[in-house]
Amino acid sequence: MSLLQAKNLTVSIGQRSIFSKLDVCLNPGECMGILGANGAGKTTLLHVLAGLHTPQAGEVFVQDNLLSHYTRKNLAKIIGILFQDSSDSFPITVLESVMTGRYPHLPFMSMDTDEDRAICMDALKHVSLSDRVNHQIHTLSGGERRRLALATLIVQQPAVWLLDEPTNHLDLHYQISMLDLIVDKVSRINGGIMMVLHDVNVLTRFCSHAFLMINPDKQIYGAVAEVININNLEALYNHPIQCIKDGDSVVYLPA
Amino acid sequence: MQIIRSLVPTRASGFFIILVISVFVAALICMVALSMGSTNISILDLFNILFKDDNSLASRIILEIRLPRVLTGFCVGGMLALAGCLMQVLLRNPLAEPYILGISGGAAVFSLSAILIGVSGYWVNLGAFTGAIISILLVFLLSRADGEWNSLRTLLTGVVLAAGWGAIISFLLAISPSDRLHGMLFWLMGDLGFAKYSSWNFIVLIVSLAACMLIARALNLLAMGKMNALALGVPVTSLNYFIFFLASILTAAAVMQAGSIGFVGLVIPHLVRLLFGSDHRLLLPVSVLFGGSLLVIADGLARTVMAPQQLPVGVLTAMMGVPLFLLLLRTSYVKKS
Repeated sequence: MSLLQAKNLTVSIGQRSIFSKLDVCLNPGECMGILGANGAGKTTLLHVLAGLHTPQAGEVFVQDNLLSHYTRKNLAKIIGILFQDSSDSFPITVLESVMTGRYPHLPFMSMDTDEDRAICMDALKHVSLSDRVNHQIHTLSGGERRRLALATLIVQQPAVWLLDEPTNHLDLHYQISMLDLIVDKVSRINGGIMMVLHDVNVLTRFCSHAFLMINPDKQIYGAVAEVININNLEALYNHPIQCIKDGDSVVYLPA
Repeated sequence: MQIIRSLVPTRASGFFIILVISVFVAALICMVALSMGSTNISILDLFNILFKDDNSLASRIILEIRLPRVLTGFCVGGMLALAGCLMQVLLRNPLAEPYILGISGGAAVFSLSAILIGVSGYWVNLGAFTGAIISILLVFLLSRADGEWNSLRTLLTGVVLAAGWGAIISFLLAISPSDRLHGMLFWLMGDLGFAKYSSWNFIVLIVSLAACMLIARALNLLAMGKMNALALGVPVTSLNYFIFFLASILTAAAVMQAGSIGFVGLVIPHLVRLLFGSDHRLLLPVSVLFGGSLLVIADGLARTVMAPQQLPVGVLTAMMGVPLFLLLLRTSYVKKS
């Protein structure tokens, strides 16, 4: 059973074709990094896979059932998404914000229980926001908000994690520790990750698979070792790339 | 106000305590408003009258004149505050209020026209209701281009329609004979003088509040953004339609009773947010109680400060609400920084 599968996706926004006849498949235990130039449709792809954007053609299957057959709430139990940026809202506290992640799991009309609260406090501890529980979210820094959004995703407990540039706003330490945390959480439940990245080296460090969106009609998909090489990356970014080898590790840099 | 919350052991009991206190405050304010007026009736006498009608002059005044007016005022205030909460979430705009989509404008055009042609009483109310419904349908049909709900398009459609109604209102005022102008201005500023008590208003308010409480948690998510809410399992499009019609009906019912009373619907939701936070499970019922209370006390003053001359209550709601809100905004800002 695949967690998430898209067949023949075609999306255009306005007159512009974003991608056509795109196929992609995410299996349990996989971590897929998505690379592409600006405007290649990476975010749009994630939104289509999460059921937030309707494609012009093609189908999305969630655990082998058509996405449109799920109710919103049931879909939210399986698929979680981290947006590229968090939008402003009316003033709420960190705890209230993270509690929204429990919404798909709470029965109609019930109050959140002590257990939900414990799950939220635990998630906040994991992203080092325990001391900010009752702070207003607009007092947080960009990086702290990013970690708060991650905590919300942790309490949502989905099987499929779609992450749009998860390292945005995070400092060097948190870039690595947050991705370690995510990969650990997801591998425990044998779930799957799809994340849009701009750093090839982060991809090679954390991902098992890569999906390169070269142009609207051409994507390259495969295991990291097979797909990530200088030729493909140069085609992808239209920029010369150099590669530095140090023992077993390989680092890609723009030339 | 975070202190109140951190004092109580759980969220549910915290909500309950705040709610009970708010009910108590609202009841107290209604009692005070009942005792206000040209004939002074003490709170003690008031209790006697409310629980034992002795047919005296005082009891006639309380039961037949003041009580219906206080109840109607409370109901209208509650409706406006609830509609304001809903519009702010629907349009994701803190400046949204019940009248922002032109519902009161449409109502005003039709009821002022009724006043202009010389009918009064019931027909003016009916005109207001007709105008409100026409305005709601216009916004709905014009802003719904491709079946998708778009908050910005709805907001712009409503604001432009409101401007159109505004122009017609100015035209009506300009061509009206001066003996009708006074009544028209009172209608425009909001006035409970002609409101008739009807249990239907309370039924509308209570049913709406109950419906809102069922979706309160989804409203919390919607307030954080459409995409967020969708991704966490809220069926956003149908929820938006539901909120739109509920808020519109509440506004139409309020405007039909009392004209366009300003300020309650804009400021009460913000005031309650500043006091107790943005959780709609608490925000909605407390807003209803506070909105009702503000209007009742304002109407009490409108009846008495310049007696026997009565003032339009809309003037009083703003005069009381503006300093109260600014004070609260300032103290909460100082506390945070």
